Order: sequence, then C-alpha cells, then structure tokens
Amino acid sequence: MLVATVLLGSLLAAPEWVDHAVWASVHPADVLFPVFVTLSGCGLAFALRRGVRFGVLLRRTLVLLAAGLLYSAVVSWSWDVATWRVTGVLQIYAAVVVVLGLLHLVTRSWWGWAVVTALFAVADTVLLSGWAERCVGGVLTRECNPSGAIDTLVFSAAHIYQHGGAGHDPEGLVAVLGALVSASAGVTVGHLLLAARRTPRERPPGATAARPSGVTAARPSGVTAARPSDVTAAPASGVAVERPAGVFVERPAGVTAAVIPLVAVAAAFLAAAVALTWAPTLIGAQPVPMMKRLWTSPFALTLASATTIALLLGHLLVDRPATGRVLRGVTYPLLALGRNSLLVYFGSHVLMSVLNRPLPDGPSPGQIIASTVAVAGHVQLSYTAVLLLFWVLLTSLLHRHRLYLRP
Amino acid sequence: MTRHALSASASPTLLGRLLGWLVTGAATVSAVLGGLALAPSASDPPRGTVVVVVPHPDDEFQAWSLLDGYTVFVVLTRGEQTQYCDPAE
Repeated sequence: MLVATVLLGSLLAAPEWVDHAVWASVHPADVLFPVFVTLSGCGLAFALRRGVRFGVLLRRTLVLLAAGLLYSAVVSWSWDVATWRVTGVLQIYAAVVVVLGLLHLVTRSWWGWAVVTALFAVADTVLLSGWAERCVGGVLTRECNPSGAIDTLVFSAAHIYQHGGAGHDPEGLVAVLGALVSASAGVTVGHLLLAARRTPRERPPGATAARPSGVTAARPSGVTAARPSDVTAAPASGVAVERPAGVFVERPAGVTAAVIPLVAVAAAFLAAAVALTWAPTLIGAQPVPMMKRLWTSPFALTLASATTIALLLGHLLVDRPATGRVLRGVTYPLLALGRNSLLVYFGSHVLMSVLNRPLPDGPSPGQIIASTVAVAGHVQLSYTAVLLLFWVLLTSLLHRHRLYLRP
Repeated sequence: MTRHALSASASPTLLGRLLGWLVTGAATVSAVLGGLALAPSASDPPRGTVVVVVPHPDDEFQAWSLLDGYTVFVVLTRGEQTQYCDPAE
C-alpha cells in the first residue's frame, strides 16, 4: 500500500482513471487512504489489546490534529487563517484514533468489534440513504448530500474542501463515519488474528498443568481468569490459566490457524457490503453507491474484505516461525516502510505537494529532478524509481536505528 | 504500566461496559438523527440543479421525468428534430 502511494504520487501527469474519482465512482487513488485506515485499525487492535493509556491517546490526537492543520497549509500553500482548511486526512486519522481508543474501554474482543463495525456501517447507510430520499431522483449528488450541509454548518464553507465549492468534503465529518467503518473492520480483523494465534486446550479438572514448550511466564498461583477475554489478554504465549470449570492451556498457534477465521470475516465484510448496498431498495429508495467521496459503507467494507485477504497472505508468507534468510532480506524494505508508515504516507504527500508546485519562472522542482535523473529517456520510470528508492533507504536507515515517527 | 493506563485487570466492570455500549449506541443514533435533521424536507424546494446533456430532443422527455418539482430548467439544444441530428449535415 505504501509502495503504491509513492508510485501514484510520483506520476508527473496522472491519467484521469488513476486520479481521484470526481463523484460516484472509485479510482485507484481512492483506495489508498481507506486501506491505510483499515490496516491502522488492525494495528491499533494489537497496540490497545492490554489497555488504553489516556495520556498517550490525548497526545497522539492533539499531535495529529496539529500536523493536519500544518499539512493543509503546506498542500494548499496558504497560511491565511480565515481560509485555513480544518478538515483533512490527518484529522480523520485523529478522529479514528480517539474513537477506537475510547471504544477499547468497552470491548477488546473480535466479536465486540464486529458489532461496532455493524453499528457504524448501518448508521452510515441510514444517514446516506435517508438524505438521498430527499434529493432529486433519490440520488446523492454534489449539490445534495449530507457532507455539504453538515460540514458547512460545523466548520463553515471557508474552512472545508475547496472552500465549499465542491459541495462536499471528502475528509469531513460524514467521511469520518465511513472511516470508522473501515477502521472498526480493521480492529475486528486484528483481534480475530490475536485470538487465532492462541489455541486454548482444555484439561480435565484436577490434572497437573504441565508447561508446554515455549513457556515464558506463568500467572501467580491463585490468579483465576473469570472470563475468556482474560485468557486472550495473557501477557505471554503458553501461560497456564486456571479456571473454575477446568484448566486451559494456551499455546501459540501456527500462522495457518488464522486462515479460516480471516477468510470467514472477509466473506462477511463482502456480504455486508452487498446487503447494505441494496437494503435501501427494500423501502423503495435507491441503492447506496460504492464511492470514496462520501466514504460509503459498501465501499469501506468491500475494501476491508480485500485488505483482510491481503493481510492474511502477508501473514502466511512473512509471520511463519522459520522464515528464510532470503525472504527476510526481500521483505526488509517492506518492513522498514511499514514501521514508519505514517512518515511515508503523509511525508510522500507533503513532498510531492512541494515538488509538484511550479516555480515562478519555469517547471516544477519535480519535473526538473525527473528530467535530470532520466535514464535512457525513461523520465517517469526513473523518477518513480528514485522516489521509491529514497523512501526505502530513508526508512531502512531509520529502522536500523529504531527511529519511528509515532505521534 | 503508567498511572494513566487502564490495564487488562483494571478494565471497566460489567456495568461500566454496559454503559459504554449504551453511550456508543446513543451517540451514533444521535449523530445520524442530527444529520438527517439537516436534510431538505419534502416541503422544501428541491436543492441544487441537475443539468442533463441530451443529444436528441426526444431524450429530453426522459430528463423531464426526473425534474418534477423544478420551476427552472435549461434545455441545451436548439429544438432540432431527431431525424435532423446528423453530424454530416
């Protein structure tokens, strides 16, 4: 996903079919950020599985909001406070982080997050189809959509996308609800992956709980797990946990244990996307379109399904206990990019914004660099390769020194 | 574990979790209802303008069927008949 972000960002002249869709459609550029949000949700499931640290959550949210305002100013190259855009991708990310953090106080189980995902998806669909019912022909347009009304009311036209001229804000409050669908789906996958990594094995009551191989820690005697969720929250694999109705022994499962759960949840996301698309037709309304501009639930869930399958393939390939040296070497750049995903995703956008801005008396810095580094006349190919190499080398260097951009 | 943290053992009680679910549900429903309250009502005049580009006047009738309730609309033709829409002429 990060490689695709760098590749698309490096295009000196992006074809129309690659660039963001104007309205009710999905183009390749529309896919990147939602996939990033879905994977971030999965990562947050791992990060928050043992608890929520309010100080970290608050600091992360404030830093993301501040960085988002700075990002808006750099991209638009305008520092006028009266027209400063308040909404943006980093602001969406901040909202997602704070909501997911708080909801981890409510549930840390995969099924709980499946319910949260369903709740957000249904709410988003009701909002969009309810609005569409009031629009001409029952169709959401740039002139008649909830984002245009809500975001303009909350932030005022001067502080949203294209100063309200586009009739909507693809990173406004309505899009936040769609992003929460994507992120919650990712959290569901993350907790499902965590649950699949452990295979509790029941022992008959009274039997001695022998430690399986790989045991690194055990709970103190007398500690009882009152709920199955306590078993999954055990600090290390292979922990023997006594329960009133018997004994569970946790042991690490192989990567293949995740296949059936993740394929099932991916199929469920896809089925939910189809159901939510056509559900409004049962009451005579138009189907909810799959589109990024309003980040509809069918769009979010379809992408979540595809992302889950891609994540599973990566899990099977890379997370095996005995990964070969060659495979580790090949995947090292991807690991380095992923460890600094925030830096690469948002950094590449800022960098390209600066490089694509034409100089007062000539072409943009990007065009100058592209023509300078061109090999055998391949301007675009060489430019893309140089940019990709830059990010791989930068993140590899940072990864070597364990330096990561984390708000 | 810092003093800001809620560890697994210090996670909210069952009542706390139930309240959390209630707050989550209520907040979501409120957000949806608030958003729908801003939607144009049935008695309001239609919001915005839909411009339909038609190559033949006959097709305009299909567009008019979608424009019910509009008081102003623009026809982007010169009123030609369908049989005269031959670019070669």
